Amino acid sequence: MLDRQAAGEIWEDVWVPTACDMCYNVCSIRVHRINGVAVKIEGIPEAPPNYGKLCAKGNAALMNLYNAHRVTSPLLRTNSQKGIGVDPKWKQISWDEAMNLLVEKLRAARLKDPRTLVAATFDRSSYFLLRAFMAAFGSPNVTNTAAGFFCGNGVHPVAFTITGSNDVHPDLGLCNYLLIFGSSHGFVAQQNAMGLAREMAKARMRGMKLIVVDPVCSHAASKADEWIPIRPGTDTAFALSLMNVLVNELGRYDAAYLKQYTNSTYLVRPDGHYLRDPKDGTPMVWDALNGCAGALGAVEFKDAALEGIFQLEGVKATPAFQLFKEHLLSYAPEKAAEITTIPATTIRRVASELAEAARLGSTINLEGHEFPFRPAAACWYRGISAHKHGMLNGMSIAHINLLLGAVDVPGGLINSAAAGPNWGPKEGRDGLLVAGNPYTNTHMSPVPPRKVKQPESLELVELFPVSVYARTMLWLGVLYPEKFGLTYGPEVFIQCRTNLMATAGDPEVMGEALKRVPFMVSFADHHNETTEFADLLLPDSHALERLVPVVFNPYIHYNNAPLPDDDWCFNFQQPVVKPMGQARYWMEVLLEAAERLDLLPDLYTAFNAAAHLEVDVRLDPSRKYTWEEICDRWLKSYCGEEHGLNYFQEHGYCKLGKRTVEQSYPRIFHKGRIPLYLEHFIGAGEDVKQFTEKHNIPWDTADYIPLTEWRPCPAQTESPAEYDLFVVNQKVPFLTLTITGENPWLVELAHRSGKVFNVGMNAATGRGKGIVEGDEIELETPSGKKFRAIARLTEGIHPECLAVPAILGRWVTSNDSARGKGVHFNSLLEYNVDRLDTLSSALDACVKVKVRRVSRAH
Amino acid sequence: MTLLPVVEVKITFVGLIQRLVGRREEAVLVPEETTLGGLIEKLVARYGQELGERLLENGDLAAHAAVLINGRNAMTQGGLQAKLSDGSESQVEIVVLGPPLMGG
Repeated sequence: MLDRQAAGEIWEDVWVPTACDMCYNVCSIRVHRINGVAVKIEGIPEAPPNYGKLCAKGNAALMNLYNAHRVTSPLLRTNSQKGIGVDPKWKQISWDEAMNLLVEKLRAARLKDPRTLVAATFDRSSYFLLRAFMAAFGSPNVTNTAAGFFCGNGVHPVAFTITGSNDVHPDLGLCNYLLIFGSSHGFVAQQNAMGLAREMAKARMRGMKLIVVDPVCSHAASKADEWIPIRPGTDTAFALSLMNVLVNELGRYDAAYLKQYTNSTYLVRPDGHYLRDPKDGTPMVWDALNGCAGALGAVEFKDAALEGIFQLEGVKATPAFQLFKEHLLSYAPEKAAEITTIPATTIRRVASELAEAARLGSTINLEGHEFPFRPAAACWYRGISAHKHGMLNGMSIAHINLLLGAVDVPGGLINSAAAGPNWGPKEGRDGLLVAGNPYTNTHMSPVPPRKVKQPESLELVELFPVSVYARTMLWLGVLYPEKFGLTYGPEVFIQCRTNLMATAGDPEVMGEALKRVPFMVSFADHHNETTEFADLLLPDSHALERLVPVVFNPYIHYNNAPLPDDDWCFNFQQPVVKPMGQARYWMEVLLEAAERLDLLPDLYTAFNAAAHLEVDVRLDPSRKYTWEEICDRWLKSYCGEEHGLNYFQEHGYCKLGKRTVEQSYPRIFHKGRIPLYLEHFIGAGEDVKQFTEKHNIPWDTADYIPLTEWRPCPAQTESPAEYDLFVVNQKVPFLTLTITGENPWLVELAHRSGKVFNVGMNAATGRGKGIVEGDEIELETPSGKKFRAIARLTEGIHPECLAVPAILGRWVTSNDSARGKGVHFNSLLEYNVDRLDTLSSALDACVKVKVRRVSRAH
Repeated sequence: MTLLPVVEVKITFVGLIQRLVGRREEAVLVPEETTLGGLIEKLVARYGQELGERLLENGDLAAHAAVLINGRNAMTQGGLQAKLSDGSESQVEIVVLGPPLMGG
């Protein structure tokens, strides 16, 4: 072969369709392979979700595949000491030895208590199988860890509450005015990044006005019509003030929508709870036409009062909207300006523009249905979530859309994730919206709140009745089990594709937690900060080396077919090249382990359930299947008999049909009401308080309030005055997951940009501190942590902020030009219960520092 | 006295629930019209309230409790109101899955 290559002979020249894995959006790609070597990656023009577009990460993926520092054989730790920077002293072993050890440890853990197995991954394509493996094993402790610390905590439970789906996004096909809070939605970030980048570009070319509210002039803000700088952690004050202007100054809100589709008309007692019909507990409303109270459903929605104060048998009863309206008066623009630094004139102007753009009262006919047409929306993400009061923050911004009647209607904020072809919201308890999803067991709905009970999972999700997960708690549960009444700890921890030491909480705390685990198994293709703690490091295959049948899919993945007339789609990954060295797909390793543990029958049953396999292709627990057979059945289950493995190997993707207007805009088709007034929070908070007090668990339940408020983060109230600058983590689209930090092309791109490996500071602020461009500076937190960096001065940062990009300051990486460069943002944070939002489990990423110049720029 | 027709339901327990009931499989005889909710009541009476707490939430199947009735997800057949049998032997698989991994 080498002779043939030396002679320049081409005996193979093919393009292989598969899916990228440089971020979780898994775009459809094709890879050019010549003589067994992958030489180029492109998008597939006709394939969703990216339709041929590929970001820098996707284009650079070959440099991860062929990285000379890849882990290529099983490695056993020989150094019993563990810690940050401690050499594991790896010894190479065979796969036989590795499997024997893995199975031995798993067997012992299962014998002791199956719950002592913990597994974590952000490899979304492997979620179904991992969940099935853990179910068969008997452990509830499966998580995606770091991914649940910051980003979606204030998004997913809110999205479920207002739409019954896992996420929401603006209707970019029809929206004319979009407010983005703390997010880079549509700018090569978030879900379906390339698809939404396309839609965002089209919307902007169509003339949609884009306003971005962010402490930093981000990629999104730099392309917006207007960037509104804001003091970190104060977006809720801005949102509530906008709504105050809309309701109390302009009188512009969608009363009809509120009456028909929300709980705004529900009568509320002085104790904050609904007034209920004594016969059956149904919430009551005031029938303005007949001048009396009536049960929900017995009164025409249009006759129910939004305002007023009524007396019913000596009990004062107020429509929820009346309370909301009065509550908003606390957020006069002048007050909000003090909190946010956004001028009151700007707040009033934006409110006015929103009201105008929303076209209250207008309708649009789409495919024979008359819909409310509200082409204005507000969306949000991590910048709003990652705070002590993340849930209240997210709810507040959601309510802007609600007030405008712009939820799940054309032009507004619409459902997205997990909203596959069979999904649809419906009416639940108290008439509130619930997710009517036959795949309901793929998410944990926060409405109605779940029962608070003794935690069994290490994640302690039982203490978070209105959240959808509580991943931040897992390592605190590991560190302090006695504090939370946990009777066991982890014995074995398996992780793949989640570099939680670098991306979760304070690595000092994370490291202590990992040290508590007697046996840790990492599957990885590169050494990183987390594998440094492993006892057994197994070579994971690269995405271009593995077969994974269901990758981008509408039942778990975000923004599959984001807009009406888009295609529901599946794509998959197939091997383009042989695995490097002895690398194996980690799920195939776990399948082998399951077989050796006699768990295959249970795993198959669990997988049938988790993946919703159709009856005719389900796995028979009495048989054994090859991985290819499982893949084929799984694909046929979702895509039909004619779209099995062979089809996907040739085409790489499959379209299932178009998303309909009913699926995009379900609001007018069901009766489930959205809570503007969060009455269900009161009972949930009381339950949590009762339980935690009974079990002596110190716990803050103050945020379980029915009307959202702005509350400052601890950094805003506890930092001494000299710590005068907020540090904000800034997204870099081509350096996201830490695997991108292993890529020499992407790291070079970062160096060349001049904006990544330094710390951004407002130019005027810098001048005031005697700092010039290129100076070496030192950041110090109130707890005494110090970090050195090079200053980059810019107008594009709020004067009270510093911008620390991406996940940098890496200490274990194959890339010499990245190691130690930049500031590791997560190291700035405190990681304890006091810094958590006890409703959403978000870790507060608000931190203040003081800055001094260390040395002058050269 | 009229005897109600009965059917045999073979139950497989997977996951945490296996430990709770102390077995992987069991067969029960139930009236033909028994729903999933009725079966769960019967199992709770036999194995205790904790079983109900694992399988039920807010009057419905819990998010992480997946039940297959003759291979089909009970949620697509009416949830707790799903009939177990059409007159012939029935197979029910009760799986307690860990929390969903969505989000981030």
